[in-house]
Amino acid sequence: MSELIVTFIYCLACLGLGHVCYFWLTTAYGKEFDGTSVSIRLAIRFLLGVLILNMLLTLLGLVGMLRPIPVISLMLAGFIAFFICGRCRIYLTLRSFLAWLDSWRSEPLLIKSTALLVFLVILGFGAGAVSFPPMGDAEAYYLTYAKVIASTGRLESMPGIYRPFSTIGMAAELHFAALIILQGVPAAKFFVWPIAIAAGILLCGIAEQAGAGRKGRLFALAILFSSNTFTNYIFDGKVDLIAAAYGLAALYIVVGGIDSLRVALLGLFVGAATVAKFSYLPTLSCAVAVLLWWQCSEGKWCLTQEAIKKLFSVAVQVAGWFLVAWMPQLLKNSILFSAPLAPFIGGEGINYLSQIWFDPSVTQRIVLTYPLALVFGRYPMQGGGLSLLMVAFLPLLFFYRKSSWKSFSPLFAITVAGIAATIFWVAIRPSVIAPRYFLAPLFLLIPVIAIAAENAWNRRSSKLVHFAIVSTIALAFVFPVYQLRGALLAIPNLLAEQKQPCIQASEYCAPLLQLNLVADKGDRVYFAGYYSYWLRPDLLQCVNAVDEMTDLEKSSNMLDALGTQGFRYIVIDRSSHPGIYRKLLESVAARADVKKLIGTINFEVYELPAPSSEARRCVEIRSGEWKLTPSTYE
Amino acid sequence: MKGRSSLLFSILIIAWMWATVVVSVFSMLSPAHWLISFLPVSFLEVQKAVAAFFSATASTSF
Repeated sequence: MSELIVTFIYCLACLGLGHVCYFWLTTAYGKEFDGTSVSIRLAIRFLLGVLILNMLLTLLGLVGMLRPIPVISLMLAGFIAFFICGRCRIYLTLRSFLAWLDSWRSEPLLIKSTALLVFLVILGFGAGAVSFPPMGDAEAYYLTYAKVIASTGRLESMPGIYRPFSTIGMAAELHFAALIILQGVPAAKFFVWPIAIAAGILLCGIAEQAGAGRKGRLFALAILFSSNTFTNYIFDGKVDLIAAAYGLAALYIVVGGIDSLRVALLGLFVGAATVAKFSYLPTLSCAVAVLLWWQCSEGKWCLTQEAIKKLFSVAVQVAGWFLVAWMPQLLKNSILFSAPLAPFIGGEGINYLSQIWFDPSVTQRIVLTYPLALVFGRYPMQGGGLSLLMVAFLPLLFFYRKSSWKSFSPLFAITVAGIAATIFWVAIRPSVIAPRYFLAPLFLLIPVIAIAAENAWNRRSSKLVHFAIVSTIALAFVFPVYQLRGALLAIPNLLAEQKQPCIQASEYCAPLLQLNLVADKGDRVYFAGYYSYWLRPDLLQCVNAVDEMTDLEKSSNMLDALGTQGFRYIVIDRSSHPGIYRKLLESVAARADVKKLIGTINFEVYELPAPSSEARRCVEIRSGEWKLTPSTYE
Repeated sequence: MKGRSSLLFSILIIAWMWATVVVSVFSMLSPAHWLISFLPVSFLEVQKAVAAFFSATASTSF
């Protein structure tokens, strides 16, 4: 399966670039990470490589060179770096892995069964990542944008109604574009799976720093992969997990200590996480600040003069590396929007940073039901919640020894940081109940629960308690496994010669694919819907722009206005755009030359007469890149 | 006596764990269930919330 092979090689290229960056940093600072396991070292180097490659792809995109040869060259460079830096470590890594596998023999059968279950579920999500089509926001924006970039070879603002939104950070879209160029969308979607695994490894590392043994780390992994606020984003094509992985890397590093190398990595990963998801700016910064305070005060939580000086010095260094990670974002927005600090300062459209999702009564209910709302909440746009194991294992906190709760302990610091970040988010955005907006700091609450379960296992020899813990974990996986049943249906399709692209896809898929067969190159589509992913790349590049919508709003005759703007087809989602639909129906009734091509439950597609030569046209200026010409009507 | 209280404690913990599973299943299958008072949001509120969120990106004021 070419998707898996291409993504695997791409990941090795990221690892290679990460090795090079890490080698440069260790040479510059004269020290290495100490006491970390092989898996943690691999995860950190991999994420470093993802960051570096993203920077390089951004530069390529801004100069319009995101084409197959430059992308393959970058990948080859990374792969060669992996081979040079990593070849002597491959044998050691394999040997460590086999020894680790062998060490599981001594574990009880129930623990081995749990580990096997977790492993199979993780594999299942990998299958989902490659076989499910894009969904939700990925279908509206993230993969659609990546598809356009892959076609044009150029990083420009997103065509259509989401143009103002393309001021956001692009942590994954360029990777998606590169993988689409190399293989296709399945390879791009599959790339999120190794990112999720890296996040899992780093969470286990944080749990280990907090005092978790093998069982505790296994329970932490079980909690992570049964939290659908994490697992939903492994297979839907969104980019949230990259921010989570970067954030967890930053948190792992800061818990481990602060020396010059760690501070550099901390700054890079905090910067990368906040670019990937702006909501990490307040939340991850809050968690990192708490942990830095704990580190600089040597666990005493007091602010002596020495501690303040150390904190200030570290903060300045972190800020410097933070800016390095932000450079591509600032450069991109400078060139595309003449506003480097957009959307914070400058940019276009509404300020989508100030979000209020619900009215005051619902907001009050959300706030009053924290933290249970994080687990059991099913609010619109919430995007899943934490695992039920977070609540199920709560009583096991009684099994903690008092000695575990010393204020200088990493477990205490991690838990305080997680609680502080959560409270901070609730304070600044009480109506925005969306764990994905602060996943990494939220996951700091997992180790305390996982270690509680481990303590209960170790201190209670009762088979009943052991069985209860394992059975609850198994029950927690029922819903994720149920979600993945679609992957079982989609995999044969993926392997088949004649693929049916709309298996498991949204209702936008079939009508838009039909339209792709009918529309000629250069035809314009007026798209009154949200999920345009399934349109051909050339059609995507010339969809209705924001200024054209304003003109349409002012016009008295919708169809004449659409003709002036050169539109040939109208796609309407009646459920989301009822106003446009009503206006269109009034105009269509009076026109015999407008044909209805496709009609489904919520969709209609109309064909307009061919536009005149004075109307706006969509022309191909270079292979795969289409641009709108101005109208000559006046 | 110690053994009995230990057994009772274990049973209580197990009951809590499985009750959590039951509540979680309820929350997925029946969002308006009376047990989950923090779940139900009226359809009108959903519409208002979605409209407010997408008002910047929606095409016009249609």
